[in-house]
Amino acid sequence: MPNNLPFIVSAYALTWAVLIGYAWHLTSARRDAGRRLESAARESAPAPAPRESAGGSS
Amino acid sequence: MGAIPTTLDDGAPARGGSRELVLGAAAFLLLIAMQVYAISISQADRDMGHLQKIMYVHVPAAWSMMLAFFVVAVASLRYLWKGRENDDLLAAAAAESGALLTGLTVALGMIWAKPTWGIWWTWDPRVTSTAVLFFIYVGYLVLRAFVDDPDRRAQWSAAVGLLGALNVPIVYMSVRWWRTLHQVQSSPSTVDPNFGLGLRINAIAFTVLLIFFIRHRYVTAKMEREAEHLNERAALGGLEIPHA
Repeated sequence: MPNNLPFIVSAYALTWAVLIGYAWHLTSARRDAGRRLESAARESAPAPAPRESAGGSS
Repeated sequence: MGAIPTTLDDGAPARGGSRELVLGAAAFLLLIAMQVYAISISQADRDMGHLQKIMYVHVPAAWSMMLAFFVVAVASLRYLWKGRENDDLLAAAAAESGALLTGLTVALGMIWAKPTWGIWWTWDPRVTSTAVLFFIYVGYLVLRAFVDDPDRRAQWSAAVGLLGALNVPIVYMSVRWWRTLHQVQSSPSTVDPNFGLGLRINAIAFTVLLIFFIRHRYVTAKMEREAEHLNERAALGGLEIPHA
């Protein structure tokens, strides 16, 4: 019987590369989405009321 | 699915991913354990020898792909029926995972075909219909990337998602309707009992991984939509936007 080990190893290596690569992509997309959401929430929040200056003009 | 796990109040939105991190780590550890177990207990096949071990990744990937497209079909139908944005996002998340698993299934099939059939590719009905399924869902993802209007994008995606899902029974039954080079469906009832347990446990591990992928992508999509809504509100609502 011919040596089929390279095919078996290739199949498992490809599977793991694809699955781990996609999980990595998802995690990075999630991080980016979190940053965008945080930034959008900051920008859409009403501006804080101007504080009264305690010491007048300097 | 609950509300978006963002914690904007304390300024740490990324913390919502800790649940996914645990689920993802558990899914990958389960897959490692199941693969090691299946490889170690299964004996060489009479005809294929140890090549049958490719079955523990090829077949579960194919089952998970079909499961993902079932989710696409249900979520797309629900969207067309109720018009809820969450169903559209769930369908898109499942379609992305499904397309990935379809591509993986085809590639693993080619690796398995070369030493057993003597060729990398043939226009066998099972192989061809799976490739068609792959291109339908790649088209689905391209469509979503190029349509800007969210309502139109969701409606068109739901239609394509449903049409693509109609191809799944054809893929499944193709080996019985047109018996050609590809063997009949591999399942614990059609394979040697020596391989049944390994097949079952790897299918469970792939299913858990699929749940992790879909959930992770779905929550991310919800966060992206929420950010878009906030940006639209800021642009159209006349709110004061502080600039640095």
